[in-house]
This record gives sequence, structure tokens and C-alpha cells, in this order.
Amino acid sequence: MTILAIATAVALASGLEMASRSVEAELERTADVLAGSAELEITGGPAGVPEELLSLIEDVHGIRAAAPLLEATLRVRAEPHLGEALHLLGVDLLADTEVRAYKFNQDSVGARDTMRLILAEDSVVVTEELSHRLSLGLNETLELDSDTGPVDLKVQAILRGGGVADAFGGQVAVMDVYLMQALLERQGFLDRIDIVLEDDADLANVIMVVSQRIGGRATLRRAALRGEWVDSTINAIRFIIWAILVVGVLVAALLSFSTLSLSVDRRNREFAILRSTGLEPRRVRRLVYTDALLFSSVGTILGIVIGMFLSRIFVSILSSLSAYLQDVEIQQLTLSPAAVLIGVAVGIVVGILGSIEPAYRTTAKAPLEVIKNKGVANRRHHSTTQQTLSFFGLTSVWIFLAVGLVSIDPSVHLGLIFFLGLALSAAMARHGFPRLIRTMRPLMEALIPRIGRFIGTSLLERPLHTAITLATLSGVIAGVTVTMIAVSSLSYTLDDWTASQYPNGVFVVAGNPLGGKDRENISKDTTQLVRTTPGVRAVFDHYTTSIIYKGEEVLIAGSSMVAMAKHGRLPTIDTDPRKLALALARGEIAISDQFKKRFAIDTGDTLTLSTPRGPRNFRIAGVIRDYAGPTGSLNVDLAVFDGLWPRTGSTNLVIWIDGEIESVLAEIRRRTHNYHDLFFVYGDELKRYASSVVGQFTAMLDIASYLTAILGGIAIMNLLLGSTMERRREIALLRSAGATSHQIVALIIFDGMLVTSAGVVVGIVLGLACAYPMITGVVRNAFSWWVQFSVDTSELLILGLLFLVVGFLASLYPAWQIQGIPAREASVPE
Amino acid sequence: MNNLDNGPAVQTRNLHKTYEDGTGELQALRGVDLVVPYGEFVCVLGPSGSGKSSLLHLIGGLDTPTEGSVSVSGTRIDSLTPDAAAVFRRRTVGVVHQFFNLLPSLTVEENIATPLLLDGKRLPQLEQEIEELLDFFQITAHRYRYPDQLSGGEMQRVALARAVLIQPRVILADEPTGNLDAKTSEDVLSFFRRTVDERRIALILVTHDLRATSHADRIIEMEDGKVKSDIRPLADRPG
Repeated sequence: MTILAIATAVALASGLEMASRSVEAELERTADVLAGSAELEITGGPAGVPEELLSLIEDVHGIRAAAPLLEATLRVRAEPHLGEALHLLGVDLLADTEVRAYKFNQDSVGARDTMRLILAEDSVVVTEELSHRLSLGLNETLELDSDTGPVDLKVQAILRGGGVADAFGGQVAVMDVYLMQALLERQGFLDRIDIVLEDDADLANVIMVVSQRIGGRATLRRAALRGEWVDSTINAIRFIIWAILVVGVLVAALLSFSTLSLSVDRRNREFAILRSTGLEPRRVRRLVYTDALLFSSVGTILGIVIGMFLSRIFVSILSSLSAYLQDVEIQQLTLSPAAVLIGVAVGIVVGILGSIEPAYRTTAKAPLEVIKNKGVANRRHHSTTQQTLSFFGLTSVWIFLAVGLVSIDPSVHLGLIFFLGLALSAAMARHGFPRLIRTMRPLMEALIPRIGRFIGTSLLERPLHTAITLATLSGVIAGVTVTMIAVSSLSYTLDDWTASQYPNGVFVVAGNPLGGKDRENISKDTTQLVRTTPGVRAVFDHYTTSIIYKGEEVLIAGSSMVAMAKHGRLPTIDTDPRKLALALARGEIAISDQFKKRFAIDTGDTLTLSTPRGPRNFRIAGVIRDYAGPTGSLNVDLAVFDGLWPRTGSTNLVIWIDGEIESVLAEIRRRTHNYHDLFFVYGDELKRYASSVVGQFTAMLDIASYLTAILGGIAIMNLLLGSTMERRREIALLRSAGATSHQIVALIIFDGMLVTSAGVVVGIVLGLACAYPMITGVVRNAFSWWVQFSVDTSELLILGLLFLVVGFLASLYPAWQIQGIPAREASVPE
Repeated sequence: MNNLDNGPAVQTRNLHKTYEDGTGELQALRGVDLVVPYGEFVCVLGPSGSGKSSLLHLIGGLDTPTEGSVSVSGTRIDSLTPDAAAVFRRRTVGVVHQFFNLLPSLTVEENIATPLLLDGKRLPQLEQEIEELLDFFQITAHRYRYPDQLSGGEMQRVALARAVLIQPRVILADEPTGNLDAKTSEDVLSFFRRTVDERRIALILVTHDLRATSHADRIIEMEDGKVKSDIRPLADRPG
């Protein structure tokens, strides 16, 4: 059991470390490789950058090279890698070497004849990694699936590692950008133009000239800005991993302490005999530490092996998260020495720390006292007043921390609440539990005849271990509770944020509403068709894109504010939603709270934006809340937006309908099916949409919850096993006094359920207390999101019941072990 | 005296017990025949390994014989399942062990009440009987104390009170004075004697302590799993 506890801690630590390093390395490598030596980049909205911009900027003074880039994620069509993601890059091979590094395999055609790659319309370059994985040689066919249908490409060259071949974990192929446009039916558009400057170029001048030339048709930004988004993704992943790691390792450490303690207790007499024959206490302690080290070593090796398997699961989850945030899927695991070292460190620290207290305890008693064990353990009888005072004292400190001390840093606040809460639950188990159990005995006796008076005896017999088990369980349940509250708060916030803006509105998007980046814009013609459909009372037309403000990328939204003033509700912070919408309709601007913080600007100030029609001043009419990221967002009326920036369509619409919704939507579908597949989200669908967005972030936490639930089960089993093994004679005595095997089994199970119930109550209270600073402080700081604290009580109820089942199952084995103890053992000397 | 008292309290016939250990078979009992009437204080003596504790375990249904039969208050206890034997024990047989076997997390009164609590009674229902026993065994002051707050003699008196509470027909005591000093042993043995005299129950006491023989009605000596001698000193004494 000790080895299992240590192995679990090590597996969790090394697995998570391996997974996070793999993801971080891949994200950073991909970002670096793709950005290459580019200093500026031109990007467009979802439709992309018009191709003709390339020729408009190529001759700007100071630009050494301008390289077009088209990106797409396709799926492998052939077994055994069917469905695997492959990133296809479309580049101008003649210009791209100025931006990105290409290292061709000397035997392949690319090294000698780049033109053949451009001229043959099905040519593709694959990485060595991909070539090995898919067993593809030169001139062989790479079979892929794209949105436009099957795509077959002939491998004309192979890229060696280094440079572009390192992006996306090597799961990348390169082809000519213009051939790729034709292949994917994206003629005339690029995803990006990367700009490399001359060494002596005047950056400010280049930015000004390029901005003028591209007008509003695309966005010019500093290439380095991509790094910030990569960093924010990595930070988000790190935050999740650390939260899981702290709870998981702490729980495993407590468990390891408990099991080591049990194993030392069982050898008490042996150690006492050794001491009575002359072995010094410090050597006895050294023996205990050596044993612990042995357990740690075995547990660590086992844990690292388990961690390797576990890391694959974590990587696949983190990969889906990074794919959602960054379009980077991680195919390969990076086995880093650091992960092994962290695993070893965790194993040794958990093992050694867990053995210190038992080692000192076993040498604290006089050896003869241990050898001449009189059959009744000595215990300290605290006075009721002392117990009550210590319990209420600790509780008061904790409540003050949870409620009163809110002005400190949220992470510190969260840590204090969590760790002091665990300490309190342990102290409660040590001092409050005995009193509670004794007070409850008459009630238990009345409720559960025949055994009620004896329930809790195994917990009272081992107060320290009961305390540790309760702390372990509370930690586990608190962790799961925080996860659940975080998920429900995020879902609720997104749902509420969307629903409250558009009460009774129907959300309209083109493409799968849950597809994230796969969505497309709704054309102006389609919007007009929707607007004129009978039954459509009002249409809120919404378009978002990015602009550069003070060198940073900021989201800007143009929306029909008159419709918003009449039917919707802007998520304002400091002003009346209707007044703000009308102010925007008059030409003013609203900023988000993140924008306000980032650029230290507020309501009433004047904001100057660079537009294709030159600089424009806007009066800030108010601040709104949004989830746009660290730089926040700007909001203007759609007419104002159209007067200054170009727009290819609408990002989404919200419509308000008179009469029967379904029939009106059917009519809209009929009218628009030649243009778009429109999706309508409303009512419960909106909740599902919000949950699916949040789900991308929570799969990882779910896995951690299951793992910690297993640890909780082991903790209960460990406590009961330890207790029952120590109490063989006591159980035999009960048998000799007339207890049947069923009564013994029921007693052990009830004891398991009792400690589980206490763990559920304490854990949920602790989880609630931790979730508040987590949601309202830590999440806001880490993700720049305003999340509303929301608790789903039915979920917490299910969590409690689930853990009671875990407690029941974990009690079965110890109960089964103990029921066979013969009554005659009662008269056998220890 | 009730109808049951017409027969013997304990009767064993051709009782054998063989234990398996790592090196082979160990014959603890080799055909013990014994009849103990109600109201008799029987002291079983013998060296270690003579089979006296095994005999006690078989009579109490704590173990099952390899051969032969055991009847307690007219019930063939050797044919009962372990659970049925446990139920029989908590209603009919009081057991006292050497090691003051009390449940450490229960108070004195809860320890005394254990067999009847296991039988479905509630503590408040037993208040009067417990008070009487506390008084009888002179431990009233310790009623709400825990075992580790008692002396050895006090613990053994609690164990005896527990055995007596169920109003057993038979009390089995395994080395009850083994861990006590001379004065306390004498006190405990006196309590045993009083209990037998006042309650007309059969008491079988296994011991090494020869002082116990002065309180006994009958002394059985065992050797190599057999009864070596069986005497009634008081009956043999003139007057």
C-alpha cells in the first residue's frame, strides 16, 4: 500500500511534467518555426488576406521579403493512421527561405530542383518524421481528406529535422501556396503574409506605408505578438497542471504517511526488542528511514513507468486544449530527464517525510512498556472544555481566513484556506471526532440496533490515522468540488453572458456552432435574406476582427446597436445598457474591462484609432465585460465600423422572432440554403454550447478528479485495514462476547461510511471556500476572465453520493478480511 | 432453579481437538469426558500445552472439536455454525479472558453491556442491571471511565460484570488472575465465588494460579490433553 501511494504521487508528478513539457515544447517550437525571421505579418479575418496585397507591399522600402502562407489541417485517409491530423502549409518556396528554414534531405528532389515542386500540381514535401510514421517514400502518394474532399499528393521531397520540419511535432507537409489554393478552393486568399525587414529598415515607416497600402482589407501586426498568445496558453496549461499536482501529491503524501505509519506500528514490538538488546533510538529511526527509502525507490520506479503511460493520456487531453487554442496538436511525447528527476524527488520526499513522525513515535516509548503491552492502549483524555476551545479556536481562524481576509493575493488566499482547512479537518478528526462519535452513540444505537453503539470504534482506536484519512479525503473531495464549481461557474457565466445580452434571441452562425475555428462569416446577402423573412422582428448584426492599438492586437466588434438598445442588453459594468447602446449608435465607443486595465483608459476619455481612412477619435461611452483575452475588446456601431473598415460579412447574427420559432427558422433555412448552412442556437442549446466551450478546458481536471477519487478510496481502505489489523484481538473479543460475522462486517462498513461522510461534508465545505477565491481571483488573474461564482447543488449532491459509494466499496475488503478472525484469538496473548 | 438446571450445565463426550501446525499435527485434547452441574466452581489446572485452554474454547463455542461433542445448558454447541455459536454465547455463556479484554473506546458501562447491546438491547434499558453489577463488583465510581483509566483488578471486575450481565448459565474464565498481583487476584477470585453462590451458575476457571483452588468446588488436573485427576476438595473435607 505504501508503494502504491508513492507510485501514485510519482506517476502523477512525472506524467504531468512529461505531458506539459511536451505541449510547451511543441507550442513554442511551432510558434518559433512558423514565425521564422518575420518581424511583421499581415493577417485577415476568417476569410483570409486578399492575395493581391502581396504585390502591393513587396516593393515597400525596408522590406527584404514578403512570403505568403496558407495553413490547413487535413486528416490522413489511409490506415493505420486514419483520421490523424496533418498540417499542410502552402508557401512560396522561392521566397519562403528568407523567412523559414528548410533542410532538404540530400537524396530528395528538393535539394536540386525546387521548380519541379512548384510545377507539378500534386507535389508535396513531407518531413522525415512523417515519412517514417506513414511509411512514405519519394514519389509515393499521401492520401488526405480535406473539407473539400479527398486530396492525393505525391511526395517529391523530404525535409530533415530543423526548421519547418520541427513545427507541429513534425506532423507537417509543405506544398506550393498557389497549388494549395486551387486544391482547397481558396483561390485569391492567403492566411498570412510574413514580412522580413532589411537590417537598416525604419520599422515605424514600414508599418505606416504597409498600413496605408493594405487599407482595411487586412491587419498588420508585429510577429512577436504571436508569442504572447502562446505564453498565455502555456500559462493556462501550467496553472491547471500545478493545481492538479499540488492536490494529488499532497493527498498521496498523506496516504504514504498513513501507510508507513501503519507498517512502523506493526513492527513496534520488534523495534522495542532491538532497543532492549542495545540498539540506540537513532539507529532504530535510521532503520525506519531505510525501509521508507526502499519503499520510495520501488514506488518511484513503478510510478515513473505508470507516469509514462499516464502522460500519453494527459498529452492527448492537453493536445486537444492546445489544438483548440492554438491549432497545434501534439502527436509525440517528449521524454525529458526533468520529468524523471521530478518523479524521483517526489518519491523520495513523500517517502522520507512520511516516515519521520512514525520513526520518532516508535522510539518515544520505553521498550519494556511496548514489550509488556497490557492490552489496553493509553490515550490522552482531553477535557471537554479543552477540546471545544481548540476546535472553535481553529474554526474561527479558518472562517476569518475564508471570509475576512479577502484583500490578500487570491493565490495566497486560496493556498491558506486549503492547507489550513486540511489542518483543521485533521484537528477536528483528532479532537472533535471522538466527542462527536460518543455524543452520537445513543442516536446510532436507536437507529441501528445491535451495532449502533459500536460504530466508530475503529476510528477512535487510531485517532492520528483517522485524522490523516479525513484530511486526505477532505483534500480529494475539496479538489473535485473546486473543479466542479469552476466548470459550472464557467458554463453558467458564458451561458448567462450570452443569454442575458440577447434575451429570447436566436443565435445564428454559419458552420458548426461548436466547431470553434471552423466557422465562416455570414454573407451580407444572407443577412438580408434573414432580415426580410416573415416573422423576423429584429436582427442584431455582429462582426468581429482584430486591429492594432498601441502595437497590440485588439479585438474590435461592429454591431447593430439600435437593435441591441431595443431588444438586447449590453453587458455593461458602469452604465445603463440601453443608454450605452444608444451612445454607440451615435458614434461613440465602448471598451471592455480588460482593455480599460491594459491601456489605463476609462469612460469619458478619448480613444484614437488608426483606420484605413486615417486616425479617428472616439469618446468612450462606457465599459463592458467580455472574454476576449488579455488585451480586451472595442465595440462600435456597425454603421460606424462600415464607414471606417472593410467587412466581408457577419461573424454571427442574433434574431428576434414573432410567432412560432421553428417555422420561422425553417423558412430562413429554406431561403438561405444555397448560400450557407446556418445553425441556430437558442434555449437549452445555448447552455450546451457554453458547456462544450468550457469542456475543452476541463477534460484534464476530470481525469485528475478520477485519480484523486481512487486515492481517496485507497485512503479509506488503508485506514480500515490498519485499524482492523491492529484490532484483531478486539474483534475476536467482540466475537467471543457474541458478535456474529455479519455484525463485524457491518461495523467495519459503517466505520468506513462514517469517515467518508465526514470527509464529504468537510471536503465540500472546504471546496466551496477554496472555489470562491479560485473563481473570483485566481481565474480572473490567470485568464483575464470575469467569471461569476455559481454552484450546482445537485452536482455536489451527486459528488457526495459518489464518494459514499467509494467509501462503501473501499470498506468491503477490510470487512471481508476481518470477519474471519476466530473468537479464540481473544485469549491469545499479543 | 429452572427446568434446564435438571441436566448438567456442561457435558463433553470423547472430546478431541487436533491442530495443524507447520511441522505436523498437534493433539491438544485426546478424549475428554466431563460433566459440570449448575452451581459448581471448577478449577482446571495443568502445565502449558496440557489442553486446558483448548477445552475452554470448545466449551464456549470459540472453536470446534475435531471429534466428540459439547453440550452447554442442553445445547449441542459443537454442531452450531460460528455465528449461531456467537448468538448462543451472548445469551448463555459469559467469557472472561486473561488480558482484561475490554473495548478501549467504550466506557465501563458500555463494556459491561456489550453482549446485550449486540443482542439488540439499548443501554438505557439496562441501566438498573448495570447499576446492580457496578455495586456488586464495587466499581460504581468508574462507570463512565475508559479502560485505560482503570487498574488491572478493576478491569478484570468489569470483564466479570460483563460476563455476569447476561445472567449466563455458565461462565468460562481463562487465566483471569494471570496478570494480577496476589491481593487483587484474591479479590477477583472472591467475586467469582460470590457469583457462583448467589447466581447458581457453573464456573469453569482455567488457571496456573494454585490460590484459585481454595475457592473451587472441584479441581481438574489436565496433562497431555487428558484429565489426569478430578477431585472435589470441599466434599472430601470432613464437616
